[in-house]
Amino acid sequence: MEGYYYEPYIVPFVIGVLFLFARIWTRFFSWISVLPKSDKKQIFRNAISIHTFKGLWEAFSEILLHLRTFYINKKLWYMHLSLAFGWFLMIAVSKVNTALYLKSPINPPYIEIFFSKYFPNYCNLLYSTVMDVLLCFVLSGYVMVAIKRRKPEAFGLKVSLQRSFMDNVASYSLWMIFPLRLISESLNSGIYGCGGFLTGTLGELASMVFPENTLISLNNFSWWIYSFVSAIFMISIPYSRYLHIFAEIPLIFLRNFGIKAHRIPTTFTFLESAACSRCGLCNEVCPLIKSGVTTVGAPMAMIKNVRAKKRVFEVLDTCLMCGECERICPVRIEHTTIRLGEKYTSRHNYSRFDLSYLEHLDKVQRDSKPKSKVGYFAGCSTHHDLYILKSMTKILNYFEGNFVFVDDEYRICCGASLRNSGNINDAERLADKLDDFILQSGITKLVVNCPTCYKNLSIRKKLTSRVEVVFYTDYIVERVGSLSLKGDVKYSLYTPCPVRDGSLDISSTHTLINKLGTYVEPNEKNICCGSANFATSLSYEERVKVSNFEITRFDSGNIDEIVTICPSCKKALKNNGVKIRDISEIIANTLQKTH
Amino acid sequence: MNKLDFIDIVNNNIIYKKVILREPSIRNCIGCGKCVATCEAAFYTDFSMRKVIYKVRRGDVANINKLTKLCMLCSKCSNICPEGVNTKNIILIINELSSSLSNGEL
Repeated sequence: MEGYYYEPYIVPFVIGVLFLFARIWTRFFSWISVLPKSDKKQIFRNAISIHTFKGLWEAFSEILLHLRTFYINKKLWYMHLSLAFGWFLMIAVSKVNTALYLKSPINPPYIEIFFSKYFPNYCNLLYSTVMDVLLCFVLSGYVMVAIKRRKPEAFGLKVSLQRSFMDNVASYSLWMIFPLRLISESLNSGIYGCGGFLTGTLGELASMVFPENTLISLNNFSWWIYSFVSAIFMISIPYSRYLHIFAEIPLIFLRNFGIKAHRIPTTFTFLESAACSRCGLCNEVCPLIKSGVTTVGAPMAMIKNVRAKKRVFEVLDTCLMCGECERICPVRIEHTTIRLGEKYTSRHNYSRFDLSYLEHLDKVQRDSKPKSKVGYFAGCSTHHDLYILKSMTKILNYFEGNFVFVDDEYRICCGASLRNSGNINDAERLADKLDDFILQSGITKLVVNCPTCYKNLSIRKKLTSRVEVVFYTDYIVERVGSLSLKGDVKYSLYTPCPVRDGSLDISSTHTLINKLGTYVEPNEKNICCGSANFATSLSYEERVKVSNFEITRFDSGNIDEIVTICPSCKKALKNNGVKIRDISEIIANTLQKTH
Repeated sequence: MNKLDFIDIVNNNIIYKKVILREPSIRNCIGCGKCVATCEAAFYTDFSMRKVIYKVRRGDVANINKLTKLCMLCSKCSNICPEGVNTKNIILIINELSSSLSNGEL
């Protein structure tokens, strides 16, 4: 045992370390080894390339420095930074010091942890000062944690997280680790001297109070406890939220190699959910929580359920799928895809829809020669709003003379709702049918009225290879050209959800609004009108609450009218006492008046 | 005359009780039929949201999922419903429950 520096008090610590790494290794290996073949190929292709260096940098900047959190919430950033980076630096500095002292680069990890217990007569003012500074840095993070627990509002957080039993075990042992280290080091310096500014002072105080015999036994005892508590913390890591410390490392590298979560979930989903540190930033931007409607489907709760392999429909379905959580997440967890995947796994076994009746569409008689090359697809929600329907008919008649109304009599859903409720295969079947139905009509350009339909139709390969799918504002801008539509009305725009994930470009809408009048920027970026039909378990009253909250983002004194480019948004917002119209209505009116 | 359908209201409305727990708005249905008038699936088939709710209320649930599986989930019915019945959730819950009903789990 000479070369291994065996002492009885390291036993709990060593057991903890061995257990932690064995458990984590088996877990991560079991997840990564069963990834789909295409993903594995991608890993091998990108493993030795520039992506590895990118991954290294991202691992450093995210796991240790938490740079993304810095740009979102400074206080939260300091808390995470002091605990993660401070701890890392303490281990790194003592590792280097041990290597220099023992003159060998590779040593068992417990020597640097219990360094001052092993070599109590080692005196290096620089080393002990640096270690004391780092200890202060970590302990200042503890103060932040304490404030956050008592008063989450001080950090700008509203929702406190629910901790499981193992989370509590882990966090209480973490609470004890650094104060215990402070006590042990101070007692050490009280007996042997050689402390830094903090441990030295505390040690002198202790040596004034206690006789030396008591000091020595106290010192032994505190190092024992320190080792024991570290072991408890390390054993509880794989079962608590602190697994994120280690799960983030493979996650960052795999993501840099191009692996993503799938709609039909793979084990990558588990890795992502394990990497969630439950910082709570996602909950703060969730429109359902912000508007005070419900916290049932909170993104953090959903990820927690994924880890526990629990599938609760109330949690999965209470989500507007706006994707705000995804965009703010410092770990870049793909909440929306994970949620869809969870819905798929919990639903696809029994909830198969029988859409064979759509075969009927094949027999629909079409004109042998279509009356126009331009078609119009209204979509389900536009069919509710006769104003939009009439205005679009007017506009299309004005510009084209004649057009093909694709879903005038035979209407068919684009499949967005089926897909977002987890019935991905049925949604594909439906969308295929819709492709064929549109292609039958012999058009070459399709004007789509609904942003959600546009999002779903513009990614269909079969359809887009033969038909140009355009959003109606793009179409109008192109056709209006230099026609004057000038008015002096102040408009504000309500942005529909496909804009935020980049599947819809609204620059044309801005051009149109600037042609019609002046555009007034809303006070705050809007998120979701509440009518998103993907939140199946959200009641009507709750939807109204969301839309009432959304309307407060507009400065109603400064604008004359709110413009929408989505029929669902218009319907959701129109009961709030604000004048609201679809852009097609305004244009149809102006065209009628002026031309 | 055909044999009359016999419905055991007392024992068969177990699905209705379960749906109420998860989607209480099913009680608000006044049977106005707006949902059927706007329904896209009803254009091609004899699917009817109103019929589904009536059948569930009366406990006539033996073949209920044959009806509910015709839905395209386009959410036109829930958008137009004057009483705010969350029709899509009802469809999804019934699909889930009726599969466990046929497995004899309920």
